Amino acid sequence: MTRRTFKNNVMGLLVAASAGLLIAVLAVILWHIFISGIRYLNWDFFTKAPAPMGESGGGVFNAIVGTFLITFVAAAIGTPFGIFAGIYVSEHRGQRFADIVRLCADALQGVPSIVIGIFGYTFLVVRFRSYSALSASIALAFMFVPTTARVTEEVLNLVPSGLKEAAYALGARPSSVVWNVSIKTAASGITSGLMTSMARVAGETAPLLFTAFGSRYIEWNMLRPMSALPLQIYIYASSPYPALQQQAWSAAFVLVLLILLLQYGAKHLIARVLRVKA
Amino acid sequence: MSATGRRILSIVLVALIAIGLVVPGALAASAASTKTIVLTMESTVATVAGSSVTLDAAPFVANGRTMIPIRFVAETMGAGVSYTTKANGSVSQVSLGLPDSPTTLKAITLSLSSTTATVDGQPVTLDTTPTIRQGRTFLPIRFIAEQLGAKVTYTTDPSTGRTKTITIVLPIVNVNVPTQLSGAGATFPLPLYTRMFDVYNSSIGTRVNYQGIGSGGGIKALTDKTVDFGASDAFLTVAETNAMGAPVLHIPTCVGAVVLTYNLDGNPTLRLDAKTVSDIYMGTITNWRDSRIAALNPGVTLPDLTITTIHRSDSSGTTSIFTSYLTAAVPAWKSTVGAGKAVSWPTGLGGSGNAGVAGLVSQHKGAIGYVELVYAISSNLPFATMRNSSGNFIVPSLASSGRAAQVQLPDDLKVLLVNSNDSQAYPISAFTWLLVYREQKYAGRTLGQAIALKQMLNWVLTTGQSVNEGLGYGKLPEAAVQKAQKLVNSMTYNGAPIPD
Repeated sequence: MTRRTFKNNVMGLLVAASAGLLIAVLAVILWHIFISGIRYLNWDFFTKAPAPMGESGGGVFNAIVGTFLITFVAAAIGTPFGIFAGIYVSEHRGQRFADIVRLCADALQGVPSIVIGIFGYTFLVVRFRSYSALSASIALAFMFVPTTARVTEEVLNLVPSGLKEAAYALGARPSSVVWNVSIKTAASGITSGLMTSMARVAGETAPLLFTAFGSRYIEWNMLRPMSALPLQIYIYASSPYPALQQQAWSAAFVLVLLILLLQYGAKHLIARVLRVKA
Repeated sequence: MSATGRRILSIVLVALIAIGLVVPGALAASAASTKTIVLTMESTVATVAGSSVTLDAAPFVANGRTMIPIRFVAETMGAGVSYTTKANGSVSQVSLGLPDSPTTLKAITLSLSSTTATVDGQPVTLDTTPTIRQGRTFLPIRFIAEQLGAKVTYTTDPSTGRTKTITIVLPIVNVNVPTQLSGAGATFPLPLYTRMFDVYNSSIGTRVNYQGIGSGGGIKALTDKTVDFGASDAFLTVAETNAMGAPVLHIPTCVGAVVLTYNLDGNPTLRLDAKTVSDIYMGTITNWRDSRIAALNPGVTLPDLTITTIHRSDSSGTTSIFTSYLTAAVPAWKSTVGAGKAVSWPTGLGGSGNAGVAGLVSQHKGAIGYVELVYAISSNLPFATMRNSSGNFIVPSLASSGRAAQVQLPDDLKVLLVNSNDSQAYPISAFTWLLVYREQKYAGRTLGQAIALKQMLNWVLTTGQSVNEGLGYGKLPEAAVQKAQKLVNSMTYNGAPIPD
């Protein structure tokens, strides 16, 4: 074996091993959550509020409701801002202000979620004298906007310039080109970006600790404290009762399932976009 | 959807919103009505809104004025009552909080020896003074009823010409008492509070949302006024009290025990004392086979194993109890480490929360840590028997931690129970408190919220106490309950006592 082929083989092996390791880590985590979580899954787990500590039974319906409400409201608040910012940056490519906006979006994406949490606590919770699900949604929207803006921009950049030029050639106004050509072509890409962003914020714990606060009751009012799956996992895992620690695994299983479904849905949509373009 | 369809939909939506805004207002307005109270002189039976009620003492006439017992005023008129007592314990002043609208209380103060009363701070002259008869305080009913806008009429006995019955037509004030409260703080009593508030929700119908974020977090949340009440295992420091900006009441809810748990083969029950524990945590005893441990445990074979000490890494009330104990019992600890929610540990590993410490102990052979009794029991961890200040070895339990509270308690109940003088008391015992502002009108809080909070605190001190022992927390001794009720009763809304 020559030195060159040896080097080639070693590098090939390292690359393959790293790729394999990535799969293995995910597999081990998923397998452990699956095995630990599935044992305590039952109908009550999905439909009931938690039992008092130390009593058996109970579920995490309060947290499931909370995760859906908080995430969807965060998405509802963040989507218009995210998409409009994305359109702006994409349409003004190369201009200084657009570059600054892009840079800020990247910086905001890098802000640790605990900082977003403290921000939400100081400016929303303390200001309004109450923990609430709405303040959690607003805090999460701060994490939602930059991701959405960046994805929207990238997807819009993929729209072939030929399409847009054809529209301009036919005498379309810029607003009409953005709406009827760029957005419509990139619609499924943008949607998949929204879903990825939602999956990201649905799994956040730190901002919720400071804002949503948690609740043992099934709560539908966004102005009241509310639970969410990551919060419930945190509380259960640090409780003194083994039954609750096991329920934490089940809640983790449900949360991971939810996030994977969102991610998979997003990938599926992206695949469709690429097919359409081809 | 067609343009017409859209228009119809928007009209329907606007109509729905309008109905939603108007209907509750109309319902609230129609609820206002009156209640008729008929009292008969020298009879303990009265009629309130058509049904018979028994008074704890009969009304009587003095100086031409009808006097009724104070408890009746509180119960039938929804008044909050608090007393000012003289040094000898006798009542000198009565304060009343009368709900004169759904959102406000009228503050009335009557003195037992004076005809001058105050109404919302303004002096008013009475033609009679409140009286004490058979140990009960009696108030002139006409004055109080008229302050509430009631109509008072009399019937007289034709044969004697004296007042026979008195009829009061009282406007009913409906205070909107919310069915939601929230609180945050200590994890030490978290299992107790979730169970208590679950019982409270099913029996009273008020949801109390308590989150265990640690004593330090609970104090911060109350300081920021983001919760109705805080909870802590350590009473407020001077700095924390100053940050609160207003007087805060400490209402104890239970007596808990902090135990030393360890990870040794065979789970032997060890006997320890304050000096040994202090030496272990200061790093002067480093091996389980040390003669100082062996001397306390004749007959127990101890392994030749390094001791790993585990402490809390977060700001913790449990740490405060544990270090206060060592500070009280061991002079060397006091001078080198001291007491607090977080201290500078000479040695050892840190875990977050009671559960974090329990987890580290169970993972390390030879580890020792301190946790709340409930956490040790539910995780099946062994715990040490401690020598108390009388020299007796005491197993931590409900009974032995409850004994620690059998001491002379100060009126504000801010007291450490560690290293109790009681010969049967477990030495590392402590109260854990709910924290509330004495004056409840702050940051836009309503009268209803104040009433809901006061009701909850009174329930925790009485009916709620039956939950304690089932979960491994000591009940409050009777003396502590009485003092705590007095503290709860001193809560005010805009300066007036809050109705029950």
